[in-house]
Amino acid sequence: MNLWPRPIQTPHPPVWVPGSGSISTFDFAVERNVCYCFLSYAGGKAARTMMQGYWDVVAKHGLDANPYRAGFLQLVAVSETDAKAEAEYARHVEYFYHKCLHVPPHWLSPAGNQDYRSLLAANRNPVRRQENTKELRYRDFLEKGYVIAGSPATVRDRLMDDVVKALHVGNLMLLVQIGSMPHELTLKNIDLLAREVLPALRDVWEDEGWENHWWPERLRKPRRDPVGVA
Amino acid sequence: MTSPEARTVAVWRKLVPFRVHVKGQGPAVVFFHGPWGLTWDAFLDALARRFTVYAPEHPGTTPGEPETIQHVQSLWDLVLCYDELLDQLGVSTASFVGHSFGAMVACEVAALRPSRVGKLALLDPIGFWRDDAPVVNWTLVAPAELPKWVFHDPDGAAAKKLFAIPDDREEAALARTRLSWAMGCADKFVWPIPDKGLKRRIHRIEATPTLLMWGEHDRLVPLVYEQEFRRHLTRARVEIVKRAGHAPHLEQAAEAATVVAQFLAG
Repeated sequence: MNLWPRPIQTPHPPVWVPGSGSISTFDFAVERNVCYCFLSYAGGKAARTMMQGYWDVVAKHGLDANPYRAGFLQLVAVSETDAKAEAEYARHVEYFYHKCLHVPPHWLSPAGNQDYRSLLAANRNPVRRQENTKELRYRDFLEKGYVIAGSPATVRDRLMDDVVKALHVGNLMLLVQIGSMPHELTLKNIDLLAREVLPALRDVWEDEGWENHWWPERLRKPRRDPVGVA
Repeated sequence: MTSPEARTVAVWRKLVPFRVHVKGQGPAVVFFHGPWGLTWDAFLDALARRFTVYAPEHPGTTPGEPETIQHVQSLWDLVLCYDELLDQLGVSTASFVGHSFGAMVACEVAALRPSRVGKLALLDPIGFWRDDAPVVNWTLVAPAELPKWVFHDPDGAAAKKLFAIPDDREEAALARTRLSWAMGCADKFVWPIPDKGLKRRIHRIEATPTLLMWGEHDRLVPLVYEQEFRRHLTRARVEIVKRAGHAPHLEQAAEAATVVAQFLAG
């Protein structure tokens, strides 16, 4: 008797595929009907062309435009007011973009790393901005959309307009510990985000009738807001 | 300089179409180009005055055929592809000239079937590794810095011809892609360490008359590797080219062509 362990799980766990600019990854995700997650530190504003490219591929394959087919990473920092957010988070945001990304740009895509089609597309339309983030300050990062920071209302509006709606994205990966941000401040960021920002965003796509097929089935419904119940 | 004839020969169950530039008359010489693609240049043109030069494009580097490289998965595949190519070209005997990565390939193809090879000219070859003098990984160098690593005079005409990026946006994107893809197609058989076992096979060509040509200022593959090759090819003749880096046949084309042609003819 020979026993082969078989990895069976019913339902199949959801699969998310990360991408950072290769257009062939769109095909990979769409052909397998998995969630494509664009991972970028440059924010939603810079990701429109790239995400539109993904949705074009989805449409070309005749699939529905379920926003949950997509995920996006966004850096977020919430405080009581916009001014307080700047006072609390500016140096940590600058620390991140000035000191934590010491990778020579050409190492991000060395020869042989991408397939030909993606390489050509990247050379025609570079994913990464040409600007040097070491020369930008907190307000630049906000204005250019690298980071969404401010009061709960500000963060809510920016997330909704620049990320959720502009990119047609259902799954957010929010990066809430940025650069040198200390533990307590990170907890505050998470707390304000969960209590005062996310509830307004959570149902936006479900209200339109979309279901998140790329989320563990047993966790999908019924949804009970775990925050603020006590 | 008249253009060479471009011939396409499909090998490897027709999955690998080699485009081969052919020019000249006389004994056959096969040229194996380096990691930055093939351009028909003054060096090859000079050789074509005395020899029939066959210059194949490394799989994947032929314009419009980038995916060819996917069918060549290992160095062993590559060597056999070249062996099939030479058979199909009807080149039963030839001298091999190789540059850099191409010189390593030339050694490997020669070691497979030494009886095919008359003479061997290696220009700044890779193929060995010494911890005390690492071969510079050209793939990890910033593209803008490449001329400084490959050429003695990074602002010279030869450097510009190999690495210049056109002003036109679309042309620039194509040029960057071509260069990066060509390196990727070669790197597949080279890195992380360009010692792929040649030292265990090179004894098969120790009787082949060999010329080792090195640019005096090769920053990519330091001159110590000339000794490394001579340890195995004890009868090899060494020629150091002054005012040249890793590509003496591009930077000092006339001189390199004269030396190589005399060696091949002698």
